[in-house]
Amino acid sequence: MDVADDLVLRKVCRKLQQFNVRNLDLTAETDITGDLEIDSVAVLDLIMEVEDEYGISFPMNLLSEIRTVGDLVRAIHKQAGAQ
Amino acid sequence: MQRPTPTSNNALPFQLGTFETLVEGLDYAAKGETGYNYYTRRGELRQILSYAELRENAISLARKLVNLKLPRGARVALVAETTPDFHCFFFACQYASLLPVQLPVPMNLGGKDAYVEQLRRMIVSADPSVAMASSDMIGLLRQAVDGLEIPMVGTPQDFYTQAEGPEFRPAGRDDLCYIQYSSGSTSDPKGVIVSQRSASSNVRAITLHGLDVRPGDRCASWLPLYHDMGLIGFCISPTLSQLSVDYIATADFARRPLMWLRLISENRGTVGFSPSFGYDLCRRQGGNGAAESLDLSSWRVAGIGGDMVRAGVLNRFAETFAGAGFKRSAFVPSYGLAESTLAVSFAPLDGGFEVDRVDKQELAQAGRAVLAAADMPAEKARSFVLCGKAMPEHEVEIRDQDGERLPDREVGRILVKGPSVMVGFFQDPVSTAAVLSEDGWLDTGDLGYTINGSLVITGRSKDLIICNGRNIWPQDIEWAVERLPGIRNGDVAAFSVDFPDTGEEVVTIVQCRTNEEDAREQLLQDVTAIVRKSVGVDTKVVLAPTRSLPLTSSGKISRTFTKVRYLSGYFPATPN
Repeated sequence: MDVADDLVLRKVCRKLQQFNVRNLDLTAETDITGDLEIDSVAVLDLIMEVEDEYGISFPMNLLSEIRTVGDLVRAIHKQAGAQ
Repeated sequence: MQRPTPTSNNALPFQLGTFETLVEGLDYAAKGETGYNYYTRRGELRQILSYAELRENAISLARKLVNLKLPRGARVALVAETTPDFHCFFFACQYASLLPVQLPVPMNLGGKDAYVEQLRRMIVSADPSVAMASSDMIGLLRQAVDGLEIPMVGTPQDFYTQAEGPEFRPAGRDDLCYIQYSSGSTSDPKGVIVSQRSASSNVRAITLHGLDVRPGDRCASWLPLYHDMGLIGFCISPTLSQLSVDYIATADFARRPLMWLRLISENRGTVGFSPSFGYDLCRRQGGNGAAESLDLSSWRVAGIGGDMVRAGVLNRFAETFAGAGFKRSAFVPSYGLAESTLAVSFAPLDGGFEVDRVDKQELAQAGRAVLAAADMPAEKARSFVLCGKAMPEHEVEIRDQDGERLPDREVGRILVKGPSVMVGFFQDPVSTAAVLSEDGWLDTGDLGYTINGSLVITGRSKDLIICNGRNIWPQDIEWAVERLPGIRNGDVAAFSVDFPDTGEEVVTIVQCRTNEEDAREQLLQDVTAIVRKSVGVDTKVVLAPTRSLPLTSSGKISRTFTKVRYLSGYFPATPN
């Protein structure tokens, strides 16, 4: 799936902006825990927010495979499609 | 709408402490109406499994497992999600004289590769005949067992659809019960062998003595079932006491901690345990009126275990939820470890927690816990929470380096003896002999002192780091960092610095060969990221010049001396 110009991507990037202390260009390739200053509790808060917003629920196996912003966006589409 | 299982059985008399095996306990509980309830993170009751259904399903599955020609004592590896399927498999093993091995569930964003590696090492150690994971998790399990010779790997459904044989074969009083992988690092996992005798002895002491379980009790738990506190404390103990349990999955608690309290509030729960950090998570979300909508007045035992009991965290929790009817006296600090099945000591019930305030300097220099004068300034004193006396049939001793027993208020190694102590580590006599003496004393690896027999934990003699209730081995952090380009074996030392109030801070010192600012900045980020990904903790990273990490006599990095140097300000501060 092409996520380059995607509404969900833009929304997710807006949420992540608060952790973007080095002012990087947030793209689908941004590594969530690697490039951003986000700790493990904040990651879970973010995931919860996304789940609530889209009325979805990520199984743990899926979360463990999410590395980049693009991975997260694809996972949101996948879960929203499955539910 | 379905209703959760009742708190008390209608006609079945309450029976405690008499069962010698898990099967005896479940056979009895199955005559009543109580059982397990599984809630979603939004607080909806997803599924119910009464002890009667659990027994029936477990026996049916046991017949299938026996029919697969699995020999007695064969290991059954189970990815232990908080689901009816896991409970069914765990008890089926009890009815088939097989040894379940509880495998962890991944918890970190992006942690897949490290998780698969961790599973694989545990599986290699446990050498199972079959392995099971839910349809969500089976893909990762299959990656973990790739190339290993495991006769059958499947989802619950794959096993349920097997043919049922005529027989099942319940584990007897002299048999083993399960293997627990919570000791040892990821790179060198150690499986604690728990027998029917050690499990039932520990449950007896927990339920009769520690919790004084009584009719009307009901449990609420988010603790992972692949750890001893979740498995013994909130699966086996309630089953052997005919108590109903309300579960939420650990990952759901991490996202919505207050759901644990909501279950207690709505179902009138009386028993719930957590490491200190779980109380802290709840407290942080308890503001803005969230606490007022709860009624925690039924909560009789708010146990603390699994990490250092932190008085500051408990005080703030009690203040936050006082308006919700939470009673400070419900706090019950405890001490235990998987090598002694689970529990070793409990503070007295209804007493809240008791703090011992000692002179920090005496403690550090002479290893003595000398009571601090009332007017001693806060920075010169250190407060510890008392964790109670050894349970009946169990003994605790504090010993010095030479194995001599120490009197009250002198800090030494904590040793434990009694029927709950493990048989040993699975297929690892060398590691077993290192901690378990021939006369049955287990060296816990923890340090502490006693006051009139009451145990106080001050630290650990091993290098283990406990962060957010999870055991983390420094070698796993070092190992992950050493795999970064440009970092060599022996360039990294990880340890934790304990802050009495907030917990442990993980520090990773990395020897760095470049003075180029961008490269150093990049390395800081890479180390933080790789540690988060592979070990799942946040670490403070300090870059140090080459050859600045102190070595032991055998030429390895000394974490202890690195930490001493770090605390003395030896390493230049790095913005992080």
